[in-house]
Amino acid sequence: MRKLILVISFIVFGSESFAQTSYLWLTKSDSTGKAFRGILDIQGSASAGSTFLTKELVKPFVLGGTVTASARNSVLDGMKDLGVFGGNANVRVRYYGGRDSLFGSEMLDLYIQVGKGYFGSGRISKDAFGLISNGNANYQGSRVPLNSIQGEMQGFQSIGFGVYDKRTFSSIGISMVNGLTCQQFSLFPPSSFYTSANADTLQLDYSGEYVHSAAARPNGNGIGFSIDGEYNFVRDRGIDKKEVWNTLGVRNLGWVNWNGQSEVVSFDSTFTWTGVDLNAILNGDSLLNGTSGFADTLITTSRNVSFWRPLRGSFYVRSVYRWNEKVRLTAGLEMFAAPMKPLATLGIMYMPKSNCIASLNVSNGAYGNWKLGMGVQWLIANQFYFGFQTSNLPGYFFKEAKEISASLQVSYLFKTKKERQ
Amino acid sequence: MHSKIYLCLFANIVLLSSCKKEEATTWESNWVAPLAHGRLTLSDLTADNGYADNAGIYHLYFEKIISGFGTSDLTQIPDTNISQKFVVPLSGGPFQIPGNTAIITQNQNYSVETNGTGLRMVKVKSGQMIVHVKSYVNAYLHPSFTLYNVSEIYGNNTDIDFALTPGSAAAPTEGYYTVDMSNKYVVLSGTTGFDYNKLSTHLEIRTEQNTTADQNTIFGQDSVRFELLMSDLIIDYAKGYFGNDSYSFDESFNLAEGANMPTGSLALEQASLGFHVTHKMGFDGKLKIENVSGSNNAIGNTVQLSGGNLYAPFFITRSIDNGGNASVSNYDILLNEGNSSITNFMGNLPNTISFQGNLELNPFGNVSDGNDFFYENQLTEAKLIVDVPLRIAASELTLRDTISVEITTDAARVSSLTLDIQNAFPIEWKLNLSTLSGVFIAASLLVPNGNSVDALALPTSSTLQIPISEAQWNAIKAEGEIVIQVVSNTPSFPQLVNLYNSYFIDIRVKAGVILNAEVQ
Repeated sequence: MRKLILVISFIVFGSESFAQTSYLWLTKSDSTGKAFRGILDIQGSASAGSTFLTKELVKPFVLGGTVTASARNSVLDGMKDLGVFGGNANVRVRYYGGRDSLFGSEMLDLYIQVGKGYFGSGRISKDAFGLISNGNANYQGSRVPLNSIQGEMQGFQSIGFGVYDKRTFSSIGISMVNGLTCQQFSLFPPSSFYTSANADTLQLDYSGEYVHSAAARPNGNGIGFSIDGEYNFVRDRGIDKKEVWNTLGVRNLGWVNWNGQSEVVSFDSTFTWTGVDLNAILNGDSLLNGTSGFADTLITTSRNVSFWRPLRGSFYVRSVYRWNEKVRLTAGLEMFAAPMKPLATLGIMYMPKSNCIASLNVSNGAYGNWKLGMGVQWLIANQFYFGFQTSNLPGYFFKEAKEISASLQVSYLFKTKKERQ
Repeated sequence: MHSKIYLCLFANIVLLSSCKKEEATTWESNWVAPLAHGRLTLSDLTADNGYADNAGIYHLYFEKIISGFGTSDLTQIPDTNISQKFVVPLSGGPFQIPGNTAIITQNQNYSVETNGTGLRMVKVKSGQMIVHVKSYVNAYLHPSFTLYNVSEIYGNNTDIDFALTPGSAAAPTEGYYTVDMSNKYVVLSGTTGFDYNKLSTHLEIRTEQNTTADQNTIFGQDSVRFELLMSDLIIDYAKGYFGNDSYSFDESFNLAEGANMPTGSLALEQASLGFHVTHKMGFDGKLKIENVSGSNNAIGNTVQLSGGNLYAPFFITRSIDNGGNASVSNYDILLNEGNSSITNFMGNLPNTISFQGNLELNPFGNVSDGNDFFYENQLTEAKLIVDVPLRIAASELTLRDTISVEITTDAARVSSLTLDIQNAFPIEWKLNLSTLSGVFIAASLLVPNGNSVDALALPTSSTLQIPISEAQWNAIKAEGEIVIQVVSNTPSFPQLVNLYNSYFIDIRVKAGVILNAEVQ
């Protein structure tokens, strides 16, 4: 049952291709800009992916249960030097206005939108992950660097508006962002864990920072802005083997200034453990008397600061090539900030009818590596639009999968008066 | 169509809101960590109860005060309440007595309890004396009470004055005065100067100086009552005659505190035992040791020490008081393998030594004419001294001890112990581990003897691996105790080997730990 709930939740909330304008919309638009008289669009997406974490390993962290040794070792075996993981969840409601003109132009109008989102990512080296997940038994005689360990998570709300072109849905808009929470943990060099060859000395060097906003509160802990924009243009519209819809876009490009209640906790120290002195035990000390524990060496300094942090924005391009009346070929590239990799996508769309699309794509990048995506779009009665999509279909079926995502888009396209008549 | 869409959305919201993690996330990881390390020498193993001789051979050395002869054993002044009524030496009445007229004057020696000894003088360390006066006389009275030779300066007096308003038989008037007796000399030789336990006092009761005759109406046989309460007096110094009593000793003590003596065969050479008396008190005595025996509780064997002049009575001569410093006289009885059964006695590996004897005070009577003395901080004590040079031969010498292991967490389980050992002792050890109820953990783990040559320590290396299964761990956790048994053997028993101060054993203990991480 819980598995079913998880699947449904991913279907409801999203994918990484969230917020790109539907191809069906583009094909249904026309050069008059009067194909629709406004659209109410609701989108939700969620994704979680990694270059190394498998669903088998992550599942117990979501649903509870035991993380088996085979799951951990399987992940380690398949892991390269540095592993990246992350995820996001977003919902957005946008209304495209249906007025006759804006600024004297009948082709333009406004849109307004509200949204809420969370994203997070992290990275860890193979050895550090091996140490944390399996212990130090396999690392005797070596020093495992821990400075690869970094993680970040942010949550925000947004409200904004923009201008769009009714013919192509090209748009540009700005949103005010209300920062809800920001957490960032980083270990710096020389953070490491050392186990001597015969395990008679353990040494933990830990140097790093934990940056976090104040406790979440309704009116937020930071204020900022973000920009969304998309430019769609078409060549040889309606002609097989010639028509190409191209998209250049920017999404969620913005920054948040987290307020002065935010705190930076710094730590930099070393804890060395060689065991208890036997003479102390003979003198009547208990095992821990006379020794300084880790807590004694953990010296932190903290200060309240206000700081800027970027949102998880991206730039993307997409092309849809009309192969024939029922088949489209797609290619896309989306660029993210580190630690996410660029996401390259190649795909095919099959349109059994002019209001229905089934798509399949292969992509590589973002939080994970190779994946096989699938989606369907359906415009019912030229008015109700539904879109379902996942960037990695095997994520729902195979325990070795490293990414799982889903998106749902539900829209209502208001008809023009003429069309209604 | 619309209704289906709404239904789907509603269903999703309900399902998501119920999506909670119902059990913790857990995983096991394998860690290795050092537990303990150190170099143990003979000094460490014997809790510094030893020393190295000129040849470097280590000696076990114990000094134990088996009897301290305390001041309370000799004498003390218990809490005492002395009460006396003084009567106006008149008959009839009423009499109108003018002011400043003496109506009662009296010297008085009060007897002081001293637990059977005769004291002539004490210096009090702490305590107090309370003087309580109660007047039944209808007059303004001024009683003056003098404690002769009671003062911080030897020979001075302590004067106490009261002022009492008129009293009656039904409603007497009272006065109190508390004398702090700390550091005060108290002469107890009475008014003659030759008595024992007599506190000399003087009492004078006059009518108050500034009163008139009509204010002081006295009848014959009117009385005034005095009470003298001595409370919590601790004697710092005493002089007198301490009597001719006998005091018995019956002491029992551990040879080494907390040590768990081994079983098996142990041969020792050149052990010695000394009985040393330091006498610093001003009385003669006759001391007789009745019995010294050692018991090995593990095997239930008791061996009496015999030989030499151990059980012959001997006299101790009184100390001389040199103005606050008592002279010291020492008496020794030395037993060794040549004149006693000390080798057998120590070879029994006694946990406990029992000692019985008695001390007779002043066997020749009051030869000091009441000048016995003691200072509270200079007392007579008897000490037992054991010196065992560690020239030993051991055969299956077994030390068994139980250590407490309190494990309160389920987060970690020890899966193995590894002991890296460097042994320079010419002794082979076998280690056995079990729980108190007998659950086997490890047996016959061998630590070979070192190759040391005389005082040159040459260790051998060995590694002991002790895997601990989950069942064994659970047993340790449940019982909370581990029994460690160490069996020792020297090469070519009963050939003796010397244990030098330079010998050592280096131990490093490492643990394999399975950590059960849990994330809620």
